[in-house]
Amino acid sequence: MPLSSTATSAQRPVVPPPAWSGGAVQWAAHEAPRLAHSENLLITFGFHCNLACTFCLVEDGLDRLEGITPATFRSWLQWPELFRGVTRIILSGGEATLEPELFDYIAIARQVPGVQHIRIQTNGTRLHDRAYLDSLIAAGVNEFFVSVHGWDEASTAKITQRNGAFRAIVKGLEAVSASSAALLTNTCICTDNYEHLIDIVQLLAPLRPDQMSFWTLHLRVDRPDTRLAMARVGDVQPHLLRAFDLCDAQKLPALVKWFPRCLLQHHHPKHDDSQPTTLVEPTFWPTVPRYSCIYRTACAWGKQGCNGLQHPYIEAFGWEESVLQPVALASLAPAKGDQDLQLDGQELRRWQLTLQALGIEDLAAQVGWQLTAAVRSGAALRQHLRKLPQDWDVYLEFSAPHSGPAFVRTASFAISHGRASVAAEAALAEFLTTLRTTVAARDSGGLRLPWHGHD
Amino acid sequence: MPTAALAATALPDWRSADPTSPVVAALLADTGYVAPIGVDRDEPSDRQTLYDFCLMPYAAQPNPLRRAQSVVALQHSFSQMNVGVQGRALIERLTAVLGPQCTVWGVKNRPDSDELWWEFYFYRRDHVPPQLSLDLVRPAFAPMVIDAQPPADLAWTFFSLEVTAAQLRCERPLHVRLYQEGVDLSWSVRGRQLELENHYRHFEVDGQTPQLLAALATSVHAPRHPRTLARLIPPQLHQAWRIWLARKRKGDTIYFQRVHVAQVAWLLRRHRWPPLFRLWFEAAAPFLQHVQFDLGVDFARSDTSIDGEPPIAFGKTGVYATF
Repeated sequence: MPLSSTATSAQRPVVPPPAWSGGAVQWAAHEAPRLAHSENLLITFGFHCNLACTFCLVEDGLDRLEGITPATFRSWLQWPELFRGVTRIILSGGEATLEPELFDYIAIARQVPGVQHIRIQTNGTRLHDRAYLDSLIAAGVNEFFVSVHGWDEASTAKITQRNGAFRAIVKGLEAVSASSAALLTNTCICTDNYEHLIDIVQLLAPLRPDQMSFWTLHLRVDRPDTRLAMARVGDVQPHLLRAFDLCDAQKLPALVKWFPRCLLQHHHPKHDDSQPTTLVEPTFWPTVPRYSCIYRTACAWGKQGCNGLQHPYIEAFGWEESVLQPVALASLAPAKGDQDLQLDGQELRRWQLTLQALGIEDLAAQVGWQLTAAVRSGAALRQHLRKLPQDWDVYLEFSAPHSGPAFVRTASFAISHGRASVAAEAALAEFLTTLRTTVAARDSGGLRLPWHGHD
Repeated sequence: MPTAALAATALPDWRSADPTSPVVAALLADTGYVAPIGVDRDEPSDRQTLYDFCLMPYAAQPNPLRRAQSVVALQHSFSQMNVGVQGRALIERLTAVLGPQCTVWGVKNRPDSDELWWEFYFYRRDHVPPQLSLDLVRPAFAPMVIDAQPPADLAWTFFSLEVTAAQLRCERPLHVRLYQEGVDLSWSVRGRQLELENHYRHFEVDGQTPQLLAALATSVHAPRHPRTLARLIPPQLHQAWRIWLARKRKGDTIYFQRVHVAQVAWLLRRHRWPPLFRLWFEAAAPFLQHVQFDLGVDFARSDTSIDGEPPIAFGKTGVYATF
């Protein structure tokens, strides 16, 4: 249901433009807007926190960003198609449990058709209050994604810059573990904790989390890394692998983000760089780091979702070209780089005259084919044809005369054709037979590909 | 008025984002940009094929704004060097001789220098008049002096003429280079004298990374250092179609073929181009989103290493497109 078809301007919700998703969600002028490109949609609000993690992703936005208000979120409910494909809504921002209107967000999320999971991203410090936890669950939250960056009181105090945080987090974890909701944990890998990842697994294993996530520090705020929070991937690797070994031994599902998959050895299935569609104010996005890998196009993982290293990391430590272990592709044949290029108006007019001279359109029409697009592909021109009602598509390829393989040669062109589907073969053969027997006679020479030479 | 909050938020500056980020495209999609003075020539509406610095065709990229021709950047560089009239006349004469989209231009700069200069490249390609030769374009450069007289039987596939502001004012003869694709060599031509200059090799970013790294490892001008590769191929420029390595006598050059206008803006900042030109280019960038530019960066060994950085001295950098 396109927004413009039924809504008056007064009724229309304010849909965030692509800049709110960092460009992840775009729609063309003729498409209905949408909010997410994946099944997970992260709504941000409440940019306040009771901890002060040294690597906080939104440190610069705390007490500044407003996020999405309940009224805006609610207005989207008028248009369920905005949420098409979304099955999980994640509530985050700062510390979500500090947000007075949190229950409004939960209630609205519950009304979104198709949503099965409501997740809160939290530091867990307020979840030890069983009544509060129960009220969140009763309201509809069924997943708690709790940050656990330290392995004891001292390490947690150093990272969160709050004494007593460790005890509060553990109590919250224990409460969620004892509840009906799913417990998921998140550990940011940084210089302060990478040597103790296995200690964090040992801490959490008795609570039986439904999933343990390890996210490599995503350096959005402190650039370049003046706090020296980024750890070298070669240094992290052995500790991460041992932590994963323990997860496997304890039968704890685990994953890692933003860490090169090629360094995970047999744990590579635990790699997952995917992210939910995140809606946050546009000022958040420009400093979000990009990821690249020097082997991106030379490694099988690079073509299968491994993002590689964040740019601030590459600037600080280099591409790590001697540390990474790219996985060989089945074929390393370089792409030819040929694109299908549209003809401009003058070229199109020239080509139409050429087709008329060769009588191709009439020949095609006699056996039920229509000429459709003509595009430049490398040094050749591809004239596409379609047969209706079957909607079969084939193409003829016209090249300047050459000595290579060709279906038919005329005075001006070498003509070949693309492969047809099995169903279309007989119909195409009929057309090609007609073409072969007539087209050469119609070409007395002097015809050119439309981009050759000038009028 | 909560529902108005989303629309009321001002867009942040796209220049603060990584040039390869989708954030840039999302911000540039805003229609509120105002073109700076000099963005006065638009692409024909039916022109969907543009050409890169090898004069090879590519499909124009989407641009939600009006599509300026990349030549406006060249024209502005002439104006910046106070040779706007001479430069514009040169563009018009070359277009008259060769037709549209047959001339590759490059504007060049050295770090912390206010001087810009140019090079024009002329390729034998399908859409270029077959009679292309140095003599064909010589009148377009008049009254500038071209003293090169290469042997008529010399096999070449393209040639270039380097032009400074002083030369546009007719104070010195132009420098001519001949290039041989296939053997990937370039030759400097002075009078009838030919001197070997450079060797070029390109690598497909999609598929020839190992070969590219091997070639860079053998560059005599690239010091061994953990961050050398990241400095020569910064992640902000890795997203290109092809990367070229030109081996030269006193320093090598890396070229990045077909990059986004935001990557050009990033390079102008990183290599400290004249602020006036840089700021103009950034203002014009939204109107050049459909163009894929090409970039060149000279590098050589440096005697000094500062703050643990690899001892690399970056020299001239260039931005290329066509008219």
